Amino acid sequence: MATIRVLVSVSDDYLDRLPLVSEQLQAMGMKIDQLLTTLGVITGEVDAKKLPILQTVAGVSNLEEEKPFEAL
Amino acid sequence: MDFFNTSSSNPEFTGRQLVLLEQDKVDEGSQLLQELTSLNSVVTSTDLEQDSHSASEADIIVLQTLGVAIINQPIDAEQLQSLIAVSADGESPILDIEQEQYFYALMDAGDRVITKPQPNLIGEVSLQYLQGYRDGISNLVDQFADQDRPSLKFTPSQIWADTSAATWGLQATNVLNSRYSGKGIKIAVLDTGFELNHPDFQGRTIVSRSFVQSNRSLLPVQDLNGHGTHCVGTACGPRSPKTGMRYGVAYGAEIYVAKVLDDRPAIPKGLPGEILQGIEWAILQGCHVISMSLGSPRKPGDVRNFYHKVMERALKAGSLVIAAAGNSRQRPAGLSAVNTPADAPAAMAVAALNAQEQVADFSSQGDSVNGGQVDLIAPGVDVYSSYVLKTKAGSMTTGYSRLNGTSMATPHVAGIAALYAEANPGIRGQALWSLLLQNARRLPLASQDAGIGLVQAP
Repeated sequence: MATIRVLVSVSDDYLDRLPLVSEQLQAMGMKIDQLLTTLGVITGEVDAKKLPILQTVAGVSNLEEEKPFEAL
Repeated sequence: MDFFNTSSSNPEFTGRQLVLLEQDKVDEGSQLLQELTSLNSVVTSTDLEQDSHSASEADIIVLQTLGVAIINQPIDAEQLQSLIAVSADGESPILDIEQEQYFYALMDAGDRVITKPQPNLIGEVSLQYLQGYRDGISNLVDQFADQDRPSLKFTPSQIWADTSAATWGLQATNVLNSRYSGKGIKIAVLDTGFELNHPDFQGRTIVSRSFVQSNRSLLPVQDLNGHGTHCVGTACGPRSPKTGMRYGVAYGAEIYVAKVLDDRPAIPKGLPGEILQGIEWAILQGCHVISMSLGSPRKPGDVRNFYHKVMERALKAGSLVIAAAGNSRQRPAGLSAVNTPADAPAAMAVAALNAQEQVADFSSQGDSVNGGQVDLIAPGVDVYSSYVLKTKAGSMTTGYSRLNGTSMATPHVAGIAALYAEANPGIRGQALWSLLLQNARRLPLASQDAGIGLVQAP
């Protein structure tokens, strides 16, 4: 069971219903960390195997494993 | 241009004249044209909306919004001469006159054909043809409009050097000649935090927040690496530092610091989730400009679209995100393209220039994916700015340092964006982006290296 940090981007039509999308993601096994309402992003952790299921949640536009950025 | 070259001797000319009129004196200009040419069948763009066929029969077609009149009939040399004389008169509503020349579609072996039929076109038309047509019109408008806009002429390279007064970067970007300071404008710098005890910033309000989690608590905003302090210094440093030369652009701007990168001594790292929190915070704080000297390298051709929507929302919310293009040009494994998130179309990507006005040898290059282009170039080599007073390892520094990187170029653009925002109250987002591009100094450098050119202060 490999837990990874994940970033979820929500589609424009669900931008005003972030908490709803977040609940659904939680129901699918994601542990929610932050809800960024202006950017439409939900952050958290989930078992890597569950990524494909998360993608099917209504309102999820894009989904990505969080990988570090570096100073330039 | 030889005005006495008639169309019969040169097939490039159509035989028509294009006349530029003073935009708020179009009717007066049209009147004058009719008098000087003895032509009086005139249609305007309003007429054409109702009946497009009348254009071919009219003597003069007036495009009211552009302020251009097309003399649809040949005129004799004497009439042409009187038009030229009148256009030279500063008081006249006629500004300029040009013989109409053919423009050509710029076709290329890689034409793509679009099969959906377009109205008024027969059969299939290639995308390249339409692009060439569009470019031809844009070129025409640009030529005429040059008088009202700062010159976009290409300027030869110069060599710069720090002086006792200011860094080479502030000289090359025209910051020293600017009367703006970024007063009333909020700049957010998302980085390793800030040296809160720096003498050059005592008395300056700094709004800050940390988003970096470490062992279940947040790291303090206090910068222990120096990278963030250096970037804040370039963007917002004081007009008269306590010691040494001036190194900062927007000395009057309001400083917002979000710690989103950790303090590790070598290359600080940050979690995108925390960086996104920093962006969200900066937007909610009302920041006009968000400076991000961070990213991850990308292979040319790779599309990383997670951040596209995010940056689009930031831009729409009125925050212009300015990001470093990356330092990976020479990295092995071919990760030389503009980094993520600078590769988001709605984030501005900044490359690094050296003091000889050449592209820095590490500066990442634009590629062909949507958003993967470099937008502007700015000073990014041997950049002097503020630094931590004490490093993480405990050694004391002078509080100043010289660094290289697209990280250093980025806050030059961020500070200058704040100057434009001050100079144009109410301008945000996309409109602010346009101002930066329009006023850039074009250099003899490839656009995949330097974008439009070297950022210039208003």
